Amino acid sequence: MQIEATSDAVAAPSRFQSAQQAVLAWRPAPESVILLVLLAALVLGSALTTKDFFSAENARSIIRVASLTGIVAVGLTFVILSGNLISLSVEQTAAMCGIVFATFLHDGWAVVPALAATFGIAAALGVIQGGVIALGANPVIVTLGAGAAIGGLTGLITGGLGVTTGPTSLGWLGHSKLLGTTMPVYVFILVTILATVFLNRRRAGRELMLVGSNRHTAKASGIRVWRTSVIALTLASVGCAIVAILNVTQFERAENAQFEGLTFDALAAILVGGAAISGGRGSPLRSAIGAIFIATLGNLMVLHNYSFGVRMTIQGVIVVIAVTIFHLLQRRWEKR
Amino acid sequence: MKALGSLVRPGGSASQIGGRLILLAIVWIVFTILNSSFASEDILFSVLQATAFLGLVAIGEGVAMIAGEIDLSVASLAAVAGILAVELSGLGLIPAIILAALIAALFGLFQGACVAALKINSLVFTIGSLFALRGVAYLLTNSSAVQLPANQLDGAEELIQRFWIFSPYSLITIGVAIVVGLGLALSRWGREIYAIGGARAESVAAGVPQRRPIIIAFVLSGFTAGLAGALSSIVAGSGSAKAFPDLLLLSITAVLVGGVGLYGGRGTILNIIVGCLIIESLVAGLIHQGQTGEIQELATGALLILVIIVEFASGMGGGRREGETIPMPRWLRFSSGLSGLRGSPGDSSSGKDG
Repeated sequence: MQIEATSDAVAAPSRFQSAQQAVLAWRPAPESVILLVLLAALVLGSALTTKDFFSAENARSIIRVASLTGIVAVGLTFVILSGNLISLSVEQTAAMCGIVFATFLHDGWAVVPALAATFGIAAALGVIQGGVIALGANPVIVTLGAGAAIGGLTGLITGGLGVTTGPTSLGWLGHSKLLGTTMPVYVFILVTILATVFLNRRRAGRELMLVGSNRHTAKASGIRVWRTSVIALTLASVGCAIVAILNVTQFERAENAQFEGLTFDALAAILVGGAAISGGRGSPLRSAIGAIFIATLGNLMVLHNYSFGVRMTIQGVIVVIAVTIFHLLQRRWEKR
Repeated sequence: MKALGSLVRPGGSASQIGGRLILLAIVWIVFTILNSSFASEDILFSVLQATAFLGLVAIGEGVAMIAGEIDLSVASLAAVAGILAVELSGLGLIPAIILAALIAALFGLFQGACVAALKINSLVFTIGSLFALRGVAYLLTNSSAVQLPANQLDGAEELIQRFWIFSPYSLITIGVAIVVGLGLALSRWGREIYAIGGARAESVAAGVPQRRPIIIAFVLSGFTAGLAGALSSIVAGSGSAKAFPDLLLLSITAVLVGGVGLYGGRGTILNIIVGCLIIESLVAGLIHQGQTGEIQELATGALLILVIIVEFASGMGGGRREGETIPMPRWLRFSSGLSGLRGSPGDSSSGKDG
């Protein structure tokens, strides 16, 4: 039972002789099945009841809405999976990355150094927080304090005002379309794929999953537990940086309070994706689908002309229902 | 005297409050040195006014966190209660405030009952309420602000009328703090809250009811959040769906600065109030120095980090050595799917008896 429970983490990809065998033996996590059933039910129900829902154009618009929250959710998934609970510094990290990136461009930097510096700053923020957590501090407290500090620093950079970049050579990222949809959607898909590959195929990713599943076993297996905290927090920060940069390219402007509510939006997506907040269960793909689920729900309610208040209330209730379903089912599996 | 001692002591040491009072004194001394006009009754009054609001919310959130739970819905609930209080103001201000706070407490009851019955972790459960209640706030206001009728404004003014350094508002908070603090320290129900927060496995073995303390904690956090939201909205003369955006994280920060920790089972209301006083004094000092909101945010973050470092260094921060299981807050131990693999439930108590 115990080994079964950690199978997300330890199932070795090399177990199978051929791809065919691997496909036949593939059993999705129960949460994935539930999530897909929920999403399918939502899409089917919407398609049957709502004119204009079932169209390629609408599907594109749903994914467009989901993409920014989704990218952050995918990055934040590593924090949850590694057993580091949640990061509460997401909004502030994204805001700071947006501000510094816009400031660099505003100051006439070329795009490549500006990108490199922004990602460097994001990674540094992640490494510092991850490092403090690795020393033994609680992730929630560290990121809560760090969030306030980062938010304050960001305000100092700009004096509380926004930064305008003017047109940049990255404008295509924010404005042009490929196959009818915007670039952030492709970035979202790419980030999800990369995160999945990292988690499943890279040693560091598998170690991260194992640490989240069972810290004692991981430690006993000689895994450097501290390193996974640093990696997880860094990846979450980088996710924030990507979203911030996409935002700057689209609006040619960055503001301090631009990402208000992002932390809990992303967390809701992750939890709707069925991740266990204590770590080891969940995947970037599921978090991405969680974001799409919430966006689909929002889209459906917009098509029905529900007011913002109704939409938010229903979204909250659905999140409660989804996490309760996952919780009850997970408890049942645990008892088996 | 013994009773007084137990106000300070359960789960914490007397040095906990001592250290916080010293920190509070340092803040006041530093800002007074920087500008001698800081140490005045006016500033003290405004610090107490700010503490009245933050402290009220932190009392409820603090009780939830002492029980090893967390309530993410406090800010949204405060916004809803504020709107309700303004809309019910036709009944008279005091009945409106009480009614709004009771409705919030009722929601806390519902939420606590769900968390206790489902044994779901409260972070996961209350994140949904965080959204849903914000939505309700928008619904109640049709996405705009509701105003207190002009003839009620005088009555609202009385709530912040100044008596030396106090006002009815801050006296309400002090009253709630005394009642909740004494209840927590002296009553059986209070002991149960410490017990389930501090040592859940042992509390089960000792026959402590597992649901009642959780429900009481959530009722309290709902009530105080609602009361704070109602009072502040009435005083401000309007309620808005967007109200109190920073309140959730600030109240958690205040509770942590107050030494409760994330693992439950320790901390006192007195410490939490002193924690709020430290934060609000710091903010008032920075405002007095003409500093901006960004500096205040930065300083609040730095303060939290400082307190955590001090507690960590003194072995009270629930620290762990590398590779050890993170001591799991109770709201995480439930529903983990893998909780059985993370060591015995009791091991979480090892990290935090200072």
